[in-house]
Parts: sequence; C-alpha cells; structure tokens
Amino acid sequence: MKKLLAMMLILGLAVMAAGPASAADTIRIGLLAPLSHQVGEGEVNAAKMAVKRINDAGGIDGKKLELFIEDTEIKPEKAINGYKKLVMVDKVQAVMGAFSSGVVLSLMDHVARYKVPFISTASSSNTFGEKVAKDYARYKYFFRLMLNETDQVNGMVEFVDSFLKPKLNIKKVAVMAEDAKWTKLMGAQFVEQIKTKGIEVTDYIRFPFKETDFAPILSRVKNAKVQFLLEISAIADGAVYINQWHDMQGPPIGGCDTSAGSEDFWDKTNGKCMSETVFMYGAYDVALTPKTKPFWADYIKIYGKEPKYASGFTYDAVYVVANAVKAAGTTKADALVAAIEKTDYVGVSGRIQFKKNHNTICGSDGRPMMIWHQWQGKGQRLPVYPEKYATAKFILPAWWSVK
Amino acid sequence: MELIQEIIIFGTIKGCVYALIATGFTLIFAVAGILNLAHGTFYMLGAYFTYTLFYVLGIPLPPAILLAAVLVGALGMLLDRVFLKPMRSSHTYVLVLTVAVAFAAQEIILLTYGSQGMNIPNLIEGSVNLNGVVVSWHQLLIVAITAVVLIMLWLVLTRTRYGVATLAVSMDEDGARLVGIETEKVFNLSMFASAFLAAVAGALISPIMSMTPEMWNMPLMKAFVVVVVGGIGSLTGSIMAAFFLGWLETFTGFVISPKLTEVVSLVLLTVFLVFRPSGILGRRLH
Amino acid sequence: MLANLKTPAQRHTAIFYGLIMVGFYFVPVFSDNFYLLSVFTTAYFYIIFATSWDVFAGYSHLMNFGHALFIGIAGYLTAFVDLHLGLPPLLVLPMCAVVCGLLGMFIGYLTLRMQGPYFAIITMAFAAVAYESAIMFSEYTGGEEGIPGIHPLTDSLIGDYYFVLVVMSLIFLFLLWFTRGRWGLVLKAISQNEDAVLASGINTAWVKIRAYSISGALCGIGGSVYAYSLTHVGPTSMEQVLSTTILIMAMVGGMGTITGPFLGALILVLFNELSRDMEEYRLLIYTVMVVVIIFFAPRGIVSWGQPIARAFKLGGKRGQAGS
Repeated sequence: MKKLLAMMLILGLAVMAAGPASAADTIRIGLLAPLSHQVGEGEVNAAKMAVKRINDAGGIDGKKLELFIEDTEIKPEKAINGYKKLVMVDKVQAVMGAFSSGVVLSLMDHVARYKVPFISTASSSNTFGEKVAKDYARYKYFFRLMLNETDQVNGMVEFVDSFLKPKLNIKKVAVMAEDAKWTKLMGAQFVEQIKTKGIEVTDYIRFPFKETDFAPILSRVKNAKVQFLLEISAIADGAVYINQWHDMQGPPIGGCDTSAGSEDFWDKTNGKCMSETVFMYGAYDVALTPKTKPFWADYIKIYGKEPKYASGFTYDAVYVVANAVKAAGTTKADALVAAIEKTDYVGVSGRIQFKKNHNTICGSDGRPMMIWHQWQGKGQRLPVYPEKYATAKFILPAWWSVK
Repeated sequence: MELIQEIIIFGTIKGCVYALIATGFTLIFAVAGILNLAHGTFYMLGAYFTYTLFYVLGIPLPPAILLAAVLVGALGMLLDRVFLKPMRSSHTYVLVLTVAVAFAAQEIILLTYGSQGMNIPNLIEGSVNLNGVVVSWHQLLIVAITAVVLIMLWLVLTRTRYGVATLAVSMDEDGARLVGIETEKVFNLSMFASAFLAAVAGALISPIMSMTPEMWNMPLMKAFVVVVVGGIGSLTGSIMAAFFLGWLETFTGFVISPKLTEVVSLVLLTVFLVFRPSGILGRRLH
Repeated sequence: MLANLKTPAQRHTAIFYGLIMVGFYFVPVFSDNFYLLSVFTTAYFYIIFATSWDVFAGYSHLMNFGHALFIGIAGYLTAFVDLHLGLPPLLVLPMCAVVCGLLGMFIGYLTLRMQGPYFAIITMAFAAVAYESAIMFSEYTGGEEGIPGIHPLTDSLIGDYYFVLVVMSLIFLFLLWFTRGRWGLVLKAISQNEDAVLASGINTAWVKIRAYSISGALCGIGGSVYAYSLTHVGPTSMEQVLSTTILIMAMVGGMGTITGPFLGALILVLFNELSRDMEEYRLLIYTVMVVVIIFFAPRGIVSWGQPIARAFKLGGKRGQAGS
C-alpha cells in the first residue's frame, strides 16, 4: 500500500511540476533558435530588441508582446520538440526563427499539423516555397522571411560574372559547398548558370559540416588552376578551411560563409581571412533602408556585438507579426496568415512582401538585399559590391596575381 | 607527379600527428593494460589549455604548449591515481569510467568555452613552396617536433631506469614486481607520458583544424585504428601504422574522394579486428 | 513467470513493477499535458534501449559500446520504407526487428572470439562506420541533417503515447520471460565460466550469438518507433554519446537483471527532464553517478530493493535473493 501511495505521490508531483503556464492577456510569440550558435544568439537578441521596442511604444492595441524561446541546437528532433512545447505548453500565437533548412524542413509538417504560423528567418531551401505552392491549404502557415536559394544563386552569379570576371580574368572557378539541404539546389544551380556565362567549373565539391582537413579539396582546386573558389557554408565553421586556404595559398575565395559574416572571424583566423569576400544580407552597416544603419548601431549599443544576418530578418519578422495582428484584429491563425500575406513593410533588411508561395520578394524596390563585403585592412568587413553601396576597393590575396 | 609529392608530404604530416596520439595510447595499454577511452580528451585538453595559457594568461606559444602538455600529463596521473587504480584489473570498469570521463570533459569544455570552433595561431606563420607544393612552416614544424619527441621517448624508454622498468612491466608485470620494480610508479609515469604526447598533438593541430568540444572523438578512433593495425602493445608497430594510415587517408582524399577519408580508417579497423586482431607486428592477445 | 514467484520478496518485486507499469497506462488520465507525455515517452524509448542492451551485454559481460547502431539502422530503414513504400508501422516494426536481428547475428558471429576491450572497440567501430556512412552517402541519407517527414505513428499525442507504451511493455515482458528462463541462466553461467558451460555440452557460441541477435532485434523495434515518434532520423541516432548513455543507464540500474536497466532508464530520464535547468550538466551528472555506483553499489539501483523493502517491513528474510 505504501508503495502504491508513494507511486501516486511521485506521479502527482511530476504532473504538477510540468503543469501548464497560466495564460495572460498578451500576444505570445515563440522563437526557435540554436542558442549556443552565433546565428541563434543573433536571432534571440534581435527578437528581444523588437519585442521591447513594440512594448515600450504601447504594444499592439494595448496588448503587450511576450516572447518564449526554445533551443534547437541545430538538431531537427530538438526543434520539433521546441515547436511542440511553444505551441502546446506556452500557447504561442506565432513562431519564428530557427536556423538551417534541414531543421526547418523537419518542422514543416508539424507546422501544418498544429496550424500555428511560423516565419523562418534563417533558412533558404527552395523546397519550402514549392511545398506551399503545391499544397497551399496544408502548408499556408509557413512563411520564409529571407532570401531563398534562387535569390542567392542569382546574386552570386551576378557578382562573379559582372564584377569578378573582368577584374580577375576568370575562366575557371570551383565550388565547395557544405553538404546540407540548403546548398543542394544552390550549388547545382550556380554551376549550371555560371557555365552559361562562359566560365568553366572544374570541380563541385560537397563537404560534411565537421570536415577538418581541407588539404585534398584545396589541392584539387589549385592543381586545376582555378581563378576563383566559390564557398557556400553556414553551419560549418569557415575558420577551419580559411586557415588552411591561407596556408596553402589558394585562389581568391568568396561566396557565402556565415561565420565570416561575424566580426570575431578576423581574430578566429588570426587575420588569415584577409581578402575573403562574402555576401551579407539581413543586417549590415550600409544605408539600405532608413532603418538599416540605426538598427546596426543600436544593436551594438545594447549587446556590444554586431548583429548576425538572421538578426535583421528576425527583427523584421517580429514587426511583421505585430503588424499582422494589428491588421487582423485577432490572433486566430487563419486570419493572421491572411494578414501576413498582405504585408508590405520596409524593415531593416529591405522592403518585405511575400509571394504566393510565401517566399520573400527580393529587391522589388530596386534595393538589393545582398551586399558583398570583403575582409580588409586591420580586420574590417567593407562593402565592395554593388558599387552604389561600396566604400572600399576590391583586393587580391597577397600571393595572387592576375594573369 | 605533383600529386604523389602532395600525398607524401601531407600524408607524413598526418602520420606524425597520428603517431603522437597513438604511441601514448599504446604505451599505457602495453604497460598497465588500460584501454583509455579518455585518450582523445587529453588531446582536446592540450589544445584548450594552450588556448587559455596563450590568450588568457598571455604566455608565448611554445612555452604555453609545453606547459599545457605538462598540465594534461598531471591530469592523466590524477585520473590514474584516483579513478583507475582501485579497479585497474576490471576492463569493464576502466572502459566505462574513461568513456564517462571523456563525455564529462566534453561537457565541461562546452560549458566553459562554448560550441564554436576556436583557434590558436601557428607556431611560425608563413608558407613555403616545396617543389610546387605549398606547405605552412607550422606543418613542417609538426614533423620536426614529432621526430624529436619520439626520439626522446625512445631514449627515455631504453636509456633510463624508469624506461627500462616500464619495458619490464609491459613484458611481465608480476615478474617486474618480483624483482623490486614499483609498478604503481611505472603506471603513473606511463600515464603522464601518454597524456603528455596526446596533449602535444592536440596543441599542434589546433591552429590547422580548430578546436571544438567534440574534437576528442577523431583522435580516439584514429588511436584505435593505429593500435589495432600496428599490433596491440607494439610501439614500433604503432608508429609504422600511424604513417601508413596517414598516407592511406591522404591518398584516398586526394585521389579517390575527400568524402571517403573518415571511413577508410574505420573499415581498416573492423577488418583488422575481425580477421587479424593481432595486427601487423603485435603478439596475439586474448 | 509465475513459477518464479516463490518467495515473498519476489512477489513484492513483481507487484512493484506491475504497479509502475499500470501507473504508466494511467498517466494520460491524470494529465494530457504534452510535455509530461513526451517526457514519459522518452523514458519508454530509453527503457527499450537499455533493457535490450542488457539482455546481451548485461548477462554476458561483453560490453557493447555501440548499441545505438541498431537504433540508427532501424531508423533509416523506417524512413526509407515509410517514405518510399508507404508501409504501415505494424509491418515496418517486425521488418526492423528482422533486419536488426540478422545484423546482430552477423556482428555476433564476427566478434565471437573477442573478449573484453576488443569487443568494446569493435562494437564502437561498427556504430562509427554506420555513422560516417550516413554522413557520406548524403544523397540517400540526407547527410548530417538526416531525413525529415516520416509519418507519425498515430494522429494524436495520446495515441503515440500508448503505441510506444504498448511496444515497451511487450518488450519488457518478453525480456523478463526470456532471461528468467533457461537462456538467462546459461548466459549468466557463460559470463562466470564459459569453459564449464561448454563442458556441459551447451554450444556457448550459439547462445551468445542468439542473445546478441535478440538484443539487436528488440533495439531495432525501439529504434523504428523512435524514428516514427520524432518523424525524423539522422546520424545523431547512432552517435557514440547515445550508446554510452544507454550503457550508463543500464549500469546505474544494475546490469544483468532487465529490471535494473528498466529502473535506470526511467529514473535517469525523469530526473534529467524534470530538472530542465540541469540539462546542460546531464553527462557530468551521469559520470558522477557511474563512479558512485561502481564504487559503492556495483550491482546498481535494483540491489537497493531489498534494504528498502526491509525498511518498509515488506521484504522477506535477510539473505534472500531479490529481483
């Protein structure tokens, strides 16, 4: 009998310990982010900043925003659990954030199942838009506030073709991409499109996130006499291959490297990232919209660090949701989705509108969202392209000369 | 031709690192019968300690590496004294405890330094063109340091009292005890040497490969492969196997596909364990 | 089973586990809180993993350091079959059991002559090969990100909960039956003195291979349900840390008892999930537990049953064999 009682007691305690949070009269927003990754940290900081500003300005129709955060650790199973917890325990009315398309892809079916709108602010796979277009009724709760693969490929092709080609006399390039879902189409599309510009692609290499030895890849690239190495990485640590690239004196390198978009990259590579050219979007110290530069400065003032690319998108996403709630006058999912679809908002990252497939429309007002920055001088990332926003001249690696 | 040169050069550099890792692993197994699953942890701590000494305390890099390795060696002795000594005879206990220590250390590093990769600078910056193959001075230094360290280890083992005692214990523990060798002391010093070597390897490689809290896994697996292929308990075999593995992996990566490098060693390990558990040079142990 | 319940202590043990099991079935009656249910579901997975580990490693004292191999293999198989063939879970589960059972038999056969640390390394190596292959063949396995979109077991959380619980109960009962019978006795005897068992005319090799195969098959069922429940499978399901966690749970609970790993998994998962702030220190706490258990209670948590029962004046006389 005593054992039975003890059992009941334990179960009872367990139930109480995990009891539901009380529902207050607030607008509840959930954020999924890899907390120990710099992109996730950037998402959290930006979301907190936006929520505080909206609340300081009186909230939405007198209701305050409340932010709930769950860690994804860039692992699908953690993200799924986090999304479920946000929806069922914290009872949020919209969720945003997450990092990596692999994670977001595994979330999609759960978003469809639980019908709480989700705005992805750090993933670029084209699959999402395709899914929304194919089965709108099921996937309409899913939005992406960021550039997708095609947008990024277009930007990269334009940069290589119209900027680098004349400068570096490019005939051959090679592509190295981390082996992730978000680079699958991107790598292949780039290879296809750059060929039409009369540039040969000698190698298209995919490497695991945890790869530590890049000597074989760099050796192949060098032996093929490549004039530009296009990198595509976000989850992998760019410092690993940039260090080895420098020591092996590889060809000029650039493209997408999320870790190089962070100010600590210079120290992490001991300055070996000099001349690496990466595109940035979402947040930078460039006067893209009237909000871009102030956001950059305020963020640094509050957190003592520069925003990451997802910071700008996440900051905007909070405003998009807040505006949608205001416009819809309710937090009911379907009305909210309809209101988000009608978004036309000039935020930090550019002018934000959504396509029918819930992708972001990029550059509709003539403002490019991608701006190419190069590591130069004593550890600054300076915009070099497009010319309109450039403040510095493009440089070559010290060991490289144009033939 | 360039390709062959590259494979030889980069394979040798890899082989040196593997040799540093594996000799310590073999040593402690041959002497004390300890299969130390926390061996990779020493490698990791070597890197992180160097980072801390260099960046936080501002000690110049060469003494920082040496000091870090000594500290890790001391930790190895501590592990041996406190946790392994009471139950050294039980393989199960040693395996479970060391693997638990390895994961605990990973957790502590994660909580202290975060999950992002970190780097220390090269010992000597700059690169050199070796007949068409560009290699950093640091990588060449790894080869030199490995040579020096291994020669010193050989001298210690053959020319000093402790070294001879160590070899004696590894051949016949009971016999060594009978002739008056303090086996506990030998075990302890072997543990120090083992951890020291792994730490040096970790510190030397971290400018090239970045340090992360999970970095201990790779060297542990490589140590298994090298030790099993070279023959369990054979130092010479381990060193030979280390270079064999270095060249084989580099060949695979450069000629076949970079993706295959990690699997090559594991397949080698399974094949050897199943079909030739005594390795190339080792005696058969059961 | 009933024949085993001769002494009061054994009867009390049976009542104890029976009550826990019944309690599990009533959890959704107390609360439909998603979080609580998911914590218990996680516990059931680890119970399957730890008890299936125990039936081979715990009884034979050959430390299996790569049990997660079966979880991963079953998970990927489930993903392929579910996404490409669309078979229902009730067909996929036996399929995973068969495949993992055969895999266990194969590995068991290959590693038959190995003892102690060699066996530990090779089990680690097999899991590592599978892990690296999953990353390497990313066109089929989704690389480090894995395969998303596996269909859920049922349409509701409570449905999922009961599905996992029923599978766990069946596996637990089967393992109790299996180990309390002749096979368990033989396995235990082999771990004590293999030559003696061999001399009595029992093919010890076959006994070990068979136990390993059963261990793999049951873990495969667990791995498949695990993948269904997460709707996702990735290389993390074969990671060394998962294998090690399983092993630690079984050791903390008490190896070679089935009930020990059951308790070990249950207690460690509940402890871990209900003290969420401590999650970061999980492995650290596990390590401390292992050290404490090995030094002070090498027979695990189950061995505390007798003293506790005595304190409650429930148990039999001093010196009676428990569990």
